[in-house]
This record gives sequence, C-alpha cells and structure tokens, in this order.
Amino acid sequence: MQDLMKKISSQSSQESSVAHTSKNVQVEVIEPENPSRRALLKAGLLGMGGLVLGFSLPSAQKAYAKTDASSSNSYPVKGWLQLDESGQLAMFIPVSEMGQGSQTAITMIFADELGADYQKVVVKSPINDPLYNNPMFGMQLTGGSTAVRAWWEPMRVIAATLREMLVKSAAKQWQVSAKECEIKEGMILHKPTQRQIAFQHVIDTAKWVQPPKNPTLKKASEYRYIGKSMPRVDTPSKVNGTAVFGIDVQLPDMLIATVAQSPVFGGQVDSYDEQAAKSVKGVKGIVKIPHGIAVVADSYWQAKKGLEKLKPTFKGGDTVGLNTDNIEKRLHDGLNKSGESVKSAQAVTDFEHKYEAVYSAPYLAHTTMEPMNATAHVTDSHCEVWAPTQNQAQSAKVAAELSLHQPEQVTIHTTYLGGGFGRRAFVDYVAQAVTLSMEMERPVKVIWSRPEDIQHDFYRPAAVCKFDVKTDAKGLPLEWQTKVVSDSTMAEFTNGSDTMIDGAMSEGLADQEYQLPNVSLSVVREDMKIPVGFWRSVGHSYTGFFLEGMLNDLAQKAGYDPFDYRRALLKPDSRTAGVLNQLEKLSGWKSKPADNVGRGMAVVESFGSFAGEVVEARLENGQIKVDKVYSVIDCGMVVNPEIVKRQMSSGIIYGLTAALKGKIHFEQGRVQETNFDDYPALTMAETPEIIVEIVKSEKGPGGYGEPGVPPVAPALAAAVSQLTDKIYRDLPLKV
Amino acid sequence: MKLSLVVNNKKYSVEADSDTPLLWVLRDHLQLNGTKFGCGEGLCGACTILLDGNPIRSCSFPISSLKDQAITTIEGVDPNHPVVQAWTKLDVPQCGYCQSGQILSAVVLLDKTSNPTDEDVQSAMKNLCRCGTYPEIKKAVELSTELKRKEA
Ligand code: FES
Ligand code: FES
Repeated sequence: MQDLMKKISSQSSQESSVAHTSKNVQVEVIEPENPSRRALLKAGLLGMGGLVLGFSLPSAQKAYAKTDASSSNSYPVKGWLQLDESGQLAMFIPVSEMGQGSQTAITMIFADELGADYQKVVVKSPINDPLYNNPMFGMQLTGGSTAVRAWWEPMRVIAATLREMLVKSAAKQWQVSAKECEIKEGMILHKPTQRQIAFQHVIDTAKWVQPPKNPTLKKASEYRYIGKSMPRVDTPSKVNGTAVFGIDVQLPDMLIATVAQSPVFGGQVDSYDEQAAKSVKGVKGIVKIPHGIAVVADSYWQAKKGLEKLKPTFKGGDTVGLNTDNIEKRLHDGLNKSGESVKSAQAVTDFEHKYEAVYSAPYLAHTTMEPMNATAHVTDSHCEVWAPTQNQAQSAKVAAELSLHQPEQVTIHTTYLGGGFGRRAFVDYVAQAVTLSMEMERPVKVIWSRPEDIQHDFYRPAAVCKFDVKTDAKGLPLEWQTKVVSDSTMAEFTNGSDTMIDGAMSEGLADQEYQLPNVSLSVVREDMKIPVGFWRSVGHSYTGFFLEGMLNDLAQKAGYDPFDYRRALLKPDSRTAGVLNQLEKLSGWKSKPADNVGRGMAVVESFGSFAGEVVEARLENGQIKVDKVYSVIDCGMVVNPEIVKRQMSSGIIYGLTAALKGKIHFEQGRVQETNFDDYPALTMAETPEIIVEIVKSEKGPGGYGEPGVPPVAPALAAAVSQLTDKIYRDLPLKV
Repeated sequence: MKLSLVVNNKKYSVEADSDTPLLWVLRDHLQLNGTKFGCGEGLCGACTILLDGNPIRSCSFPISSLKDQAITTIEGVDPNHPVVQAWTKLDVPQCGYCQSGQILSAVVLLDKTSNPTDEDVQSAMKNLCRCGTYPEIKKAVELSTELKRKEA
C-alpha cells in the first residue's frame, strides 16, 4: 500500500524524502488573524491567536511561499509551536487521532527532543498544509500504520531545530553563549548563573534566529519519555465528554442534514416527495447530491423525519443484478483466469506430494463507532471544513474543486475521529458537507444514519485464493503456487482503471520471511463496481488468513508441530523466527491444553512489524468461544509500550469480530446489513483474555495499529479445527 | 412541545417535537455533546444516560416519555467519581467515542453493586466498543470498585 501511495504522489514524495535533514530550513513567525475565530473557539477546535513558531522542511517550502502570497484571509496558523493567548505552549501534532494513540506517541517524541515538559504540553491538530505531509506518503494522510514510522526521524529534526533556536534566543537575551545553556523540563537554563527562562518568553525572539543546519539530535540515553508508557494526551477530554469529534462541531447559524444514497451503487435518484418532506417542521431544504439526496433541517431529528417523508426512490446503478452468490461464483471462476504474474518459477517435476486448497474471505464494513459526518461553511472567499478524517490532503482537494475556491482558500480542521480503521481515508462525507453548505449558503453539518454508514462504506474487498503446493517426502514445500482473485482498493482510492492491479491485493502472499522455493504468484482483478477501500490491515486482512491457513494445513498433513514447520522454512535469525520462539514460550505451547480446548497459531509480517498469535478456543453450545489470545509483536524500537499493547489487543478484537461474525451480503446490488443487530461487533462477554508481549529491539520503528489483525483469524481457524476435526478455509468461521 | 427538563442539576426549557429522542434534545438543543450517536436503534449504548440513576439508551427515548426524572449525562459525572478516576488512571479510551456511554453504565453498576462479579460486569456493560477497549474497561471497573471501597 505504501509503495502505491508513494507512486500516486510521486512528485511530493520525492520532495519529502529529503525531509529528514534540516538543510535550508526557513523560519517564519506568523501573527494569526482569523476571520472566523469565534466560530472555531465555539467549536472548541483551535484556540487561535498568540505566536506561532514554524519553519518548513525543504519539502514544504514551495507551498509555504504560495500560502504567504495569498490574501490576508488565509489561515496562517501553520507551524509547530504556538504560544497561545493564555501563555500556554501548544504543539501541532500532524496526525489524525482515531484511537491508535499516535497523537500521544508523536507528542512524546516532540516533547522529548525539544526538552518540553510532557505533562504540561497542550496538543493541537493542525489544519491542512503541506507542512504536515506524512513523510512516507508525501501527502497529509494518516494510515497504513505509518504515524510513528513516518515521523520518528523528521519530528526529532523539527524539535531539535526548534530547541536550538529557543536556546539561542534565550542566550541572546541574556547576552551569553548558547553553549553555556541547556534545556530542562521546559526551562532554558544558563548553567553558570543558574538563570532560567521558560520557552514561552523566548518564542517571539526565536524568530530572528537562523535555524541550525544540522541540529544535534539527543542520544537514546537522554530520552525522558520515549520508551515509557506515558499517559495518553487525549484521555482527560475523552473521559469527561469534552473531546470534540466531527459530529460534535457546532457553528453559529448551522443546519443539520442527513442523506439517502442509492442502495444500488452508482444509481440515481428517481422520484421523491419534496412537498411532504418540506411539511416537516424545521426542514429547510432538499438537496440532490451525487447518487443521493439530502434533507437539511434545524436539527438531526427533523432532517431524519423529513427524509422519511421524502421517500426517495432510485434507479439504475453499477451493481444491478449483483448478489452474494453470483459475486462468489465470479471470484471462484476468476481462479481460471491467468491474471497478472507477480512472481513466476519453474514447475518442479520431482516431488512426493501435491496439495491444493482454495480459501475465501468476504466483504466487510468498517462500522466506526462514529457514523460518517462532516461540517462545512462555504462563503465567497472561503471554504472551511471540520471533519473527522484520516485524509486532509484529499479533503482539501475535493473541497477546493467543489467550492470553486483556490487551494489556499480552503481550510480543513481535523477533529477527533470516532474510529477510522481506513474508512476515513476516503472523503465522501466532506464532499457532501461542502455541497450542502454551498446550496444552503449556511454552515451545514451532515450526519449519516447507521444504516447509511453500513450500506455506503468502502468495503474490504472479498477475495479468493488458491494454493498449489508440491512437497518432498517430509512434507516441506518444493514448489509454491498462489493465485488470488480480488478487487483493487488503490484503483478506488486513485480513480485507477478497471483493470489496475495493486500491490495490496496480494501483499503478504509471497513476501514473508519464509524461504519457500519456486514461488509463483498471480493476481486476478474482478471489478465488481462495489466501492472497496482500506480496512484495518488492508490486503493482509485476508492474505494472512490464506497463507497461514495453508501453512497450518500443510504442517498438520506432514505431522509437524505448526511452530516447527514454520521454523523449518525460516532462517533462525529472522525476526519472524524470533517472534515464534517468544510466542511459543509465552503461550506455554509445549504443555498440553485442557481436553476441550483447541489451540492454533499464526504469524504475519505486515506494516514493518512481525506479529504472532496463539488462540485458545472452546465450543460452548455449538458456538465458538475464544478464551485466550497470546500475542507477540516485534515492531522495532517502541515509543510507548502500553500504546503498542493496546493496539495489538484492539486489532485482535477487531479481527475476531470479522473472523466470527463479519460478512456483508448483497442482494440485487444492495447491501443487506443495516445496523449492529445484523452486522454485530464483538461484545465484552465474547472478548477473550489477551496477553501481549513486545520483542525487545533496537531496529527502526514498525507499525502496530494494524499488525494485530492478520494472525488472529488463521490462528482461530486452526484452534477450532482441533475441536471439530474439520479444516476451515472460509471466513467468517462457521462450525 | 414545550418541555422543561433537569439535566445535571440544571433546569432547561426547550421547544421540540414530542417524538424527538432525548439524545437529540441533549445534543442539538442543549449542546451537551458528550452523549454520542452510534446506531439510533438502542443497539450500541453510545447514547447511554441516566434517568433518576437508571441507564437508558437516549436515542430511543422520546421526550414525551419523560416524567420529570433527573437526567445525568457525562457532563454531570463528578470528575472525582471513582469510575472517572479509574478510567483516567488506566487510560481506557482509544478513539473515545463509546466512552461516555461506557462510563455511565459503569457508574450505575457501581451504585447498585458494591462487589460486582464477572457476570455482573458483563450484564451491566453491554455497550459496544469498536476499538475493543473491553479488557481495559473490565480492569477499570475493578479499580473503581476498589477506589470506591477506599473512599467509604
Ligand atoms: S445510539 Fe443509542 S444505542 Fe446506539
Ligand atoms: S474507544 Fe473507540 S469505540 Fe470504544
């Protein structure tokens, strides 16, 4: 996924690849002047004002110049440090916080390198600006478990640059040498005289300081926060109800809308009863949107009642005639196509056994706890958006296009996200809010109902995979053929062609650390015209199940322990082998489980990390009951261990929900599921005990928001196999 | 209808249609946004609030059914309440969206049961969490029980 992201934004990513050095940094100090500050303060989103210290790394310089040349209406708060009106020092943290804890992790890196007092730091989400481009993607986007991986280096360079500028500024005020000064817990100290000054008091003179060309980064031994389980920065507001999510945005004079979109994807509105809808008290407008229609009212309830009276009908669409059966048949038939060859190998003729197996995984919805929503206010001079989005870059682009404004007239404010899981990398809700605000000439917040959210997702594509494996007498592979049939999420994301094949479709199938001989892999694209997108762990969410399932099958057939079978295919010093060894110990694998308990395991490399899981399950009244999940992750060096563990546990629960219950069905081109009753989520009572260990490592940071997901389904399938003596090759698992 | 209601010990009067669920009166009329909308059909618990100390799913509770009960939302929970303390100490929230409802469910559990068993916890805490914070919620309920005992 990252490779493709890089490709699609090649221009900017080339620039951002040099963002790791601080050459040519330029300093700008901006006195903000903001036309709708009151609205913002009301929304509780950005306390504007005060002084902002920012500089751009080379990647962003051009964009900076452009913004500066624009009218005074532009929103100048772009930088890294802000001294706000109350004298508080705030940091702008360039990632969307959707539960994964990245805001906390990046704040820790920033504060540690800067020398700020973590406990006193105020954290803010910046607006859209190339300054905050994710260095791995070259665009402002949070996803792909990249936050710490992408910002680990640049954030320290930024913080070290700021630190040296602040120190020089203090030294100048004291008329001493900067060399005699150091920073401690947010204070700059002049060692010989023991004089101290807070950052706050030197930030305004720091603007005259030439930023250092090569700021000195701290040594790991000097870190005070990195590596420790510091408390999350977002906890206080999330336990007292003040955290502002997209759905909570309030603007003066704002209307609230809700939508009905064509249940057949790509269909059009046919008829509707405008009169009846308008007769509902509070309804202010009926607005057609692409493939749907919106009712705009004073409150959500009035909008919803208006929509019920509007009774829109729809016609046409791209998925007419599709149902679950014919979709699955098409995917299986796809196995007969040759597809695009990713890897090829000579056929082996000298072998002992030959196995083939077909695996499948269904469409899945994300069901973020917060339904899709966004707020926009479009005026003649501006387009301002408040959105719970992972994708500021695309939000800004769409908002500019629709509002006919220049990019610099567009401001995207990022609220907290009530879950992302990849859904909010797409920005359909932003487009709707902008359109509705233009139409109504007022601020409009659009809120989807839950059925609308489930029926208009960008689904994890269904996939089918066939393995043809030849082995020697011991059951170890001599030739390994894989064919996978699925749809392309990147084609959806980049508006690519109907035939585009992307790396995520087969990621994980032929690039794990296993030393498999004579590997061939081909990929068949079946474009069903069903919107597909990134679902926590993307392609790995099904390829992990396929490949690890096949390995468990083969191990069992060959009479191997599944750990030993994998070790036979791995270099002993590989990171996967390291995870296996630690997991074997942690789970007590070598001691026999209780009679009625089934155990299974799997290990998957994804997003720069290696995660292994052992699942213990039982059958209770004919239902699968998961008791325990042991998990080990090697994600390189760790900024906040507790956050890593929580994300693993979160990924395991997300993956279990899918493995046990997740399947989106289609009938006549329409999604059948509507809410949490027919598309359920795991409950507390169904949640197993989860034990997570992190491998000690000094390697570069890997991801951890997604890697917990892929191993859990194959490990669970193997555990249930032990209980029923059946092999499970289709998700969700049905006993 | 004209309605006067007491939320978190404050008196409000609002004008809203009688079939409006209490959730939307709290959010759209009173701008008490801590109570969340998750499903609209009583299935997820994100909208949990208390009526005279009993939990209800406010998305499915029309204001016409109100009978002068005292309403408690997340904004009215004492910041020093053992549940809030435990939630904070254990950093329970991830995305945080379900947590107002979780906290209110836990407040009730603690009020009604001094020493909740696993079954008590599971039957009181039926709120969904898509981030999967259940293991931490369980621990936080235990911790809040302890804190409450110490307070007493
Ligand atoms: S929003 Fe009320 S139960 Fe889900
Ligand atoms: S914390 Fe995200 S839904 Fe519960």
